[in-house]
Amino acid sequence: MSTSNGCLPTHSYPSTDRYSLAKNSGLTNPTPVVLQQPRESEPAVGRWSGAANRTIVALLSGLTRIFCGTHVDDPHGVLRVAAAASATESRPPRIYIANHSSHADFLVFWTSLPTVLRATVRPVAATDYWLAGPLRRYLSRHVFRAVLVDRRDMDARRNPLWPMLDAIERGDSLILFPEGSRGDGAAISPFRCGLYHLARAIPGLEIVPVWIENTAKVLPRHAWLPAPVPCKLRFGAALRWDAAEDKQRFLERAREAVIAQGTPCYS
Amino acid sequence: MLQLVATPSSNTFSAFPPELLWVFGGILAILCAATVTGRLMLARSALTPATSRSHPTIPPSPHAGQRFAANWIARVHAWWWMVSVLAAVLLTIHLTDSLWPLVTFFALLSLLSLREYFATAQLTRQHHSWLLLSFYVLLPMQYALWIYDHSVAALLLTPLYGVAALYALTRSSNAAQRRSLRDVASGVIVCIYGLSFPMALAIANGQGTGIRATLQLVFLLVISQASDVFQFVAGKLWGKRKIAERLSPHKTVEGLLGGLVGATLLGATLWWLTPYSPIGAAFLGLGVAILGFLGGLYLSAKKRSRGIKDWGTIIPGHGGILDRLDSLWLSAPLMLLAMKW
Repeated sequence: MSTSNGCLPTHSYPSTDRYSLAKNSGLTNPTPVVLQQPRESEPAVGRWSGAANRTIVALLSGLTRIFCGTHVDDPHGVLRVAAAASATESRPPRIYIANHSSHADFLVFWTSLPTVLRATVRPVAATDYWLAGPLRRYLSRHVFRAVLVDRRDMDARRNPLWPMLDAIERGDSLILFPEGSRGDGAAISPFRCGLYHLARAIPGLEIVPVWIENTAKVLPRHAWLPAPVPCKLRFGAALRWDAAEDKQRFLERAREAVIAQGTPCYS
Repeated sequence: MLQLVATPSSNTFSAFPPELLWVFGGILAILCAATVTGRLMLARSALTPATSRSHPTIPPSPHAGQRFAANWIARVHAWWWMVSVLAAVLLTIHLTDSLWPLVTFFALLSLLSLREYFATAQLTRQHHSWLLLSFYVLLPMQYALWIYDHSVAALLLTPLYGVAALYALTRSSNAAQRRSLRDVASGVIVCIYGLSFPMALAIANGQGTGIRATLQLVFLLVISQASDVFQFVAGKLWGKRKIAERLSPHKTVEGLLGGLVGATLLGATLWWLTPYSPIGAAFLGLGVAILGFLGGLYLSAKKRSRGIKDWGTIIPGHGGILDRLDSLWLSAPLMLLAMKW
C-alpha cells in the first residue's frame, strides 16, 4: 500500500493493520508498523519557543482565568490519570471531544488543564479559518500549536486524518470538536465522521467526552467583545470504538456521551 | 464628585470608633461560641453509633447528626472568613480615611453576583448584547452615579432606561425570548441596582469620608445576616409548617417568626449604630428582616426555576456570593429610604 514514491492509499482512512501506531498500541497489534509514509504534513510547530510566545500564552490563560474562572468537574479522574501517566512512557493515545459554540472553547479547556497536560494537548482547527489572517495564523501555529486540517477539499491525497495521526503518533493528545463548526450554544449538531475514522485508525484510542458550558455566553459566534461569565467543564469517562459498531451508531454514542456531561436544561 | 477621600487639612484621623469595636467584639464572641458548639456536636455525634451496616464491607454512611455538625462547622468556618474580609475592608477605610475600599469591595461583590446570576441563565447567542450592556454599561454606570453624587440619576437610570435598553436590544419576541428578557432584567435589578444600595448607604449619608459613615451599613449587614442565621436556627429547632414549599423547601413559618423576632430585638439592641431611637431601630430591624426574607424568597424561586440548589461554590457551606447577599437587595433600599425620609 505504501510506496516509495509517496503515493497515498486511495481509500479515505488508513486501515488499522498498516497504520496502527507502533509505540502506543503495540499490545493490541501483534506486528506494529511504524508510520513510514512521507506526507505533505504541516510545518513543524514551535513548542512555545521564544519569550514572546510564552508571554502570550501566559496572558491568554490568565485572562481566561479571570474572565471565565473555569470550574472543572472531573468525577472519573480522567485528568488525574492522564497527568500521572504523562510522566511515564506508556500513555495510551487519547483525544478529547467537546461541544463547540465559541472561540473561547479551546481557551477555556486548555486553561483548565493541569500544567503537565497543557504542553501535550493540541486543538484540531480548520485551515480555511485559522490560516486566514496573520494574527490567526500566528495564534494557531505558535500559541495554540493547532493541528490544522483542511476541511474544504478532502481527497485521498490530502487526507485530513494525516496531521491528526501524526500528532497522536508524536504523543500529543487532541481536542476535537466533532460538530465541525460552532453552534448556537443550545443544540448539539450531529457529529462529523472524522471522529469515527480516527477511532478506527488508532486501536485503543481513548475518547474522553467533555462538556463545556457557558462559552456561548462569553463569546458567541460573530461577537468580538467577551462577557465575563463563569464557565464550567465536565469530563466524562473515556469511551472506545467497539469493532462491532457501525459509523452511525458510534457517532451517536459519542454525541450522547458529550451531551450526558452537560447539566440538564431547565426552563 | 462626592468627596470620598479626606482633604489633608481636615485632619479627621481619629481612633477606631468604639461602636464598631463593640460590634466586632460581639461577633467574635458569637463565632467562638459557634465554633465550640460545632466541635461539641461533631464529637457527640461521633460517639453515638452510626447507622447499622447493611454489609460488612460497605462503610457506614455518616448519619444525620454528623452531617449537620459537619455542615455547621463549614458554615461557621466560612463566617470567620467573611467577617475577616469585612473587618479588613473597614480597617482599610479607617487607615486610609477614604471610602474607596468600600466602593471597590461592593462593586466587586456586585460583579461577582451578576456573574453567578448569568452563569445559569437560559441564554443563547442573540442575547450577548444584553450581557455586554449589563456588564460594561449598567454596572459601572450605577456605581459611578452614586460616587459622582448623582443620586436621582442613580435611582432612576438603571430601572427605567437600563431595562428599556434591554427591551430595545431584543430582536424578536416569542415566548422564550420574553422569558429570557425578564430573567436578565431581574438580574440587572437585583445584582446591579439592588446591590448598589449598601454602598450608597455609606457614601450618601453625609457623615464624611471616615469610618463613621459606615455605621448604618454595618447595622444593615449585621441585622440582615443575623436574621438569616436566626431563621436557620429557629427553623431547625422548631420548624414544622412550610411557608412556601414550592419556592424554597426549607423555609418554615416558625423559622420566619424566629428570624423576625430576633432581628427586631437585635435592631433595638444595636440602636446606637443608627441615628434613630431604640423603638425606631427595632422597627427598622423588623423591616430589614421582612424585606430580606422576601428578597431571599425571590431568588430562591429563581434557583428552583433553573433547577439549581446554590448560586455558586465560592463560599463552602453557603454556596455562592448571591446566596449570602440575597437578603440585601431589597432591604438596603429600605435603609436608604429611612435615612432620607
